[in-house]
Amino acid sequence: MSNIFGYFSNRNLQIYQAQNKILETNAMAEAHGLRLSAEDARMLAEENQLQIVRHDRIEFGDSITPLLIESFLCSSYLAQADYAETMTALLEIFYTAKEECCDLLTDHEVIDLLYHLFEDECGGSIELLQNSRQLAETLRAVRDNPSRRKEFDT
Amino acid sequence: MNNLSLRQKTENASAAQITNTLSLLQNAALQGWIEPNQLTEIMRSLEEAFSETAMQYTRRESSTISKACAEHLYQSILFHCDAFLFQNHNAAQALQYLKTLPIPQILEAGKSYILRELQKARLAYQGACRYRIKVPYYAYNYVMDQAFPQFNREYSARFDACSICTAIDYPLLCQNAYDIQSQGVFFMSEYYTVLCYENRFCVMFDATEITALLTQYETLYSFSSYQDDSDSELFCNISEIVLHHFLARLLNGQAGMHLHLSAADIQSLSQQYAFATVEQVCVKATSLLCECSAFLAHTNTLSYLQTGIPTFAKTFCQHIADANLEHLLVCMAEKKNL
Repeated sequence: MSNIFGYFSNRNLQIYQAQNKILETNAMAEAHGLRLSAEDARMLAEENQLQIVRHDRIEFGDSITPLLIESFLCSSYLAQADYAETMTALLEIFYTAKEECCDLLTDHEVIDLLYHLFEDECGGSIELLQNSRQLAETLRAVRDNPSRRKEFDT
Repeated sequence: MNNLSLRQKTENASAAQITNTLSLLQNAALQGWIEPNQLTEIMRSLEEAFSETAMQYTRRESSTISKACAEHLYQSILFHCDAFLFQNHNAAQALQYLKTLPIPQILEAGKSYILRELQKARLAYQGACRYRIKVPYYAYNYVMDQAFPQFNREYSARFDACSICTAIDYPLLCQNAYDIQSQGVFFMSEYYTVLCYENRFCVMFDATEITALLTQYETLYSFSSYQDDSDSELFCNISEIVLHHFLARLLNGQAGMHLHLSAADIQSLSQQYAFATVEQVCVKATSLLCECSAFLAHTNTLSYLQTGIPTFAKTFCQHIADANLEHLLVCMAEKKNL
């Protein structure tokens, strides 16, 4: 089976394609005074791949990074100075959350949850979000009782 | 490479090894039976099929899945290929199809094949239920009451085609369940088809007589129940015990669909067959079984039961040689009119 997955690892092409998609988010981000350079975009694309490997996952659709960026653009706490760094940290938190909830939450649900906590509970602090008790409890509740997922759907 | 030499090479080169699409592709790549660009194209198509299946699995709501989940999905896709390529074809034909047919077409054909087999498995289970025997034995009752309904509820031909989604331990007449090579729905179809034959055979006898025989057998081999009111843990094939006793009665010249053997019957069998070879017992038992009018309308059941005769003959002769036939055949309390 590992040989089969070898065919999926055309890494450079994947990173190049993801980088271009990330750069396309600049069109929306500029309205919020934010912009990623080509280097930032490449770094984010590589970070995404790194997190996928670190969390023992396989990517099959479009990269999550552009969606994550676009979802956080409205945040009142994002600043150009740490825009790329914040997004890099969010990628790590996103994949950890996906793993913690055993994939019972969709990508959109996890991003919505992170955005809500980042904005309302953590005051835009990545450190607080990473160590958020509410995030951990929410993910545990979903994992232990999948029917509670409905509460997050609404 | 022309088709003939390809066929010869694939047939010579470890036919036993090439039993699925993955081993076929690995061998084809190693032995040069397939052009590199063709192999790349096949892998690209499989990758596309995987992506689409993964998207369907997540309802297009996630862009990644865990590696463990991905392996399940990929195995399922390869199982679809196997279903079409290997069910009725040898490795050379399978490779020819891989080289000439588009992968989506192979996958669709494989999926249709699996769905047809699912119908066959359901019919086989219905058949097994129609002839089920009422005995208080847990392993048997589990495969009859719980295993198939669970499979039917949880089996996914799309996402987890090679799983059976349940646990089946109850052994069959000639083999243990875990010795069956086929997977997924093919396993279920095969298992319940033969279980149907076994049940069909067992219902030819009185259920109380079977229960009495098994109870004696249980006592002899010290099987116990979890609790007094639960089903017995007896872990052996019921039709095998029934067949052995029925064949012994036939060999002893006792007609009728009964299982009772007295101590005198066992003594008589030991004397009659003291010098018989396994082959002689095998031939005689086969002949006597085929003469039974009860099997006239059930030729499949008869053919299946015949596969159990060599084992019976071997064990029968061995026990006579060891002077302990009563360890194979259970001596039951005397009953009138048998």
